[in-house]
Amino acid sequence: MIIFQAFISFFATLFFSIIFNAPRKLLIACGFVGAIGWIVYYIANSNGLSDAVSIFLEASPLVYVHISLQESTSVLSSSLMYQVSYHSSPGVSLTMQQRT
Amino acid sequence: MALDILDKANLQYKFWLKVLSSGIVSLLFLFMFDGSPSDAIPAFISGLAGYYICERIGAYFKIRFFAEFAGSVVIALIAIACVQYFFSESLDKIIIAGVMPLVPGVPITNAIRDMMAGQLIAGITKGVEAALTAFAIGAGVGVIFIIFGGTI
Repeated sequence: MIIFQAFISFFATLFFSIIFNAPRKLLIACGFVGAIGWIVYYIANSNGLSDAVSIFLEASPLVYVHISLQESTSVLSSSLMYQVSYHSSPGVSLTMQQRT
Repeated sequence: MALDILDKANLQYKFWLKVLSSGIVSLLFLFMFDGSPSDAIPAFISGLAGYYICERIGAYFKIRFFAEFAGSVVIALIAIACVQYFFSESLDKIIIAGVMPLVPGVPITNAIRDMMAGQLIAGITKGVEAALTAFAIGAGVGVIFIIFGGTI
């Protein structure tokens, strides 16, 4: 079930990044960050933690992966953070067109 | 020089690709919220149609928050029609999944980031805009629920 959730959230984040015009070479990275964040949220939430605590736990690996991706791809990843943080906030709006 | 290049650059994806990806996003979010496979097709269609209507009306009318209202009206109509006339089960999950491409998550994140960076006015205005957008989406779904409330 967790593998299925990881798979689903990977592609959900990837297609969300397409809606918000993420750069083409960052799409796979966005998918990985979204999948990792959703897995942490899912495990924490299914073990009885509340929504707020689960999202708080989710944010720390998100930032870690995001910084390491920034070092490895040498791309300013602030836009990456915007794309993947939609779990923590209720959805995404159409006003963001941030490009690196 | 670099600004000229940036001004002329076309950084957007194609519109049909965005519409298709919004449909796929709604489909995948249905499974992330433990939806049943019988709701997959209504979620896909409602997400796709909602994003399309929202973009088109937003480009046509200049009234703020009307595009999100119209998009969520279309999403709620499709969800109610699918639950009534087809074999879909859960109305709420279809609507939640279909509304996901419209709801403002990035402005909320940006508003908090702005306020943490000390840009208080920018943070507050973006936060209020996100709240009003969310209100418009909720109002669109609520109007349809009031109108067709007796038939569900």
